[in-house]
Amino acid sequence: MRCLVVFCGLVVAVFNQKLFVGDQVLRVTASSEEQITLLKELQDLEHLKLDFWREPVKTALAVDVHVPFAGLQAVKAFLESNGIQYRVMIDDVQMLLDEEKEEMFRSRDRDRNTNNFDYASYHTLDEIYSWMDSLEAEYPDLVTKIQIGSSFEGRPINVLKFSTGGSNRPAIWLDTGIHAREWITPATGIWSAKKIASDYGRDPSLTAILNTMDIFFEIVTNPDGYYFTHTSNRMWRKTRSINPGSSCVGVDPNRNWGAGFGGPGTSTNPCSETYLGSFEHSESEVKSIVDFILGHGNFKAMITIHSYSQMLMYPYGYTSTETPNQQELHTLAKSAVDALATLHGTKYSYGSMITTIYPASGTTADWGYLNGIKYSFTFELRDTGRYGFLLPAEQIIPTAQETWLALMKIMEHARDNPY
Amino acid sequence: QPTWVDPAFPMKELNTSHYPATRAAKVAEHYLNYHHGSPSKWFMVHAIERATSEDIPEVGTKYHIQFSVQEQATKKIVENCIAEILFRQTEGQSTPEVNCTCDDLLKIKTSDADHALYHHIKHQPHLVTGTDIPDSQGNIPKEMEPLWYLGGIGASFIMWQQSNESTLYNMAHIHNVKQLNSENDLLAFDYVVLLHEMVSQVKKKKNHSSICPSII
Repeated sequence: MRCLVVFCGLVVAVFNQKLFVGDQVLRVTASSEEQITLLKELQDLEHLKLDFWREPVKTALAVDVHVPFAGLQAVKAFLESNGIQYRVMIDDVQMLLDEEKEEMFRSRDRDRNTNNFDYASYHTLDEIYSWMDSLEAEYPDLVTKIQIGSSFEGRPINVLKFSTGGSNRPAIWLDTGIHAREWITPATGIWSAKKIASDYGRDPSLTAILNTMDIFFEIVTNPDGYYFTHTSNRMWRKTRSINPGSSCVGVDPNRNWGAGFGGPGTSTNPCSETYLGSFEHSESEVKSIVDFILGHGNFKAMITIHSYSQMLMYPYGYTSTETPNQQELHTLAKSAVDALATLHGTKYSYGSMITTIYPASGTTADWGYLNGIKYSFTFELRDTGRYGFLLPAEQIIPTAQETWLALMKIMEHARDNPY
Repeated sequence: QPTWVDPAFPMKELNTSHYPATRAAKVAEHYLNYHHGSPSKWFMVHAIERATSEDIPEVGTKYHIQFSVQEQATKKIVENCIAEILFRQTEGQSTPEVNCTCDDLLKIKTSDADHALYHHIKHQPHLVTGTDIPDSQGNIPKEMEPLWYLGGIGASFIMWQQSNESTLYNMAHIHNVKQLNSENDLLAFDYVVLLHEMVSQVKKKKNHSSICPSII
């Protein structure tokens, strides 16, 4: 412990200079009063530039002395010729300082990683998971990482909980990365999660949201698929579950929800990109969320984020019947896309899923709505087909910034319209 | 200013945010790119101002779209484009018939840039090749951009041919491009591209060779 304190002092004083190469620290054990006297004399020899970490006081206490390289031979000879026992405690002070400095930088990287993190590039699953730990460590009073289940291939399914307290507060659900190839979505998710954490206490509106509601954010909703897009097939969409009797892998997680399951816009062919699965919630990636949200019982908004097409949609996708809240959702969608456009002029279309993009059954937002979550929305982020799924990394931050404005509109509305 | 067409059959006003209008506009986009695109000129629909459709018994459905496009290199927006797109009622797939007026579009001159590219490629010691455009992160090396545009223009022909009221195509990726040997002044390229169809979410690998217009 004392060593550590001294080391920190040394590092501060020395800062990047290699002044201690070959220096050693000796632990000297005096066995008589005469030897103690001799050691005190050694202390007085200024030209040796000895640094006694522990002073010679009495025989019971060991004496630690930092000896510069130049004086090592002389000091050891002195100790040996006087029969004073010693051992080399630190073999090379500089080496230890270098290790210590490295460790400090490494731990600084771990502790403050979310400030150094490169939000303007796409990251691997491991990098994202490690970033989650950093975020949790950096904002311990606000952020908790919760594992809500495991993927088909056994990867943890992690959700970031943002909460300032209370008990089972009304909650907002956000998810990105449910379709593996839609890389812009987890990239936007990371930026947005950091935004939530750093804006609490600074932005009045976001602070007001978190003072009464919790936010649950699942960044990589399909970790197996995401991993697969990095290692094997950039254009993979579905989960990676094995379909018995078929050589084709994976289920479309956005057709697997129990909301008009098996209806229009789905396929029963395991080889299809919109294969709905053998039964609703067959995918653990979907079931985990279903169980979590139903178990919680107090979600008020559910926002699921995809790419591409630049759309903001409300239920339904499985039927053309309008929801009872059609007017309110439509008005809210309009205010959200108008807010989004103010930043970079990006145009979004909006409406129900079935009219705006295509009929699709068993989708996330329809399930949310049918389970009492009134403010259920589906985003399709940039762009409209120029780059499509391969959106350049330089568009990550502009996309995240503009999307944030739309997300805030929805979250504010949920905050201000409790039900 | 082109006038709005007076239809012969009952006309339905379409919501410009909804997919019937956006799919028809996308067909017009592919048509425009095939006919007017170049390695320095690639258009995408910018906004749909108005859209109507008419069902023509025993023929098919005809869409009228009033829209603007944006040229991707210059970011220039061209307004007042009007397109008529007829999707015929046929057994299998048939190429939609398109009539498109977009006067200001023809005013975008890229012949200098196109000529420069032609000469640049013509005088290369080796045949030009490219692969993985864009890459996983969306990056495209600067020198590959014209080949990306050219690939998009060529793919537009296929996407136009393959389109119907239940599809929306975009070119997702260029797997590779190879310049072909040619004895005459034309430059020819062989492309393997990935097309993304939005409704089925299917990715289709297509080969288009010698369809790319020569650069003169």
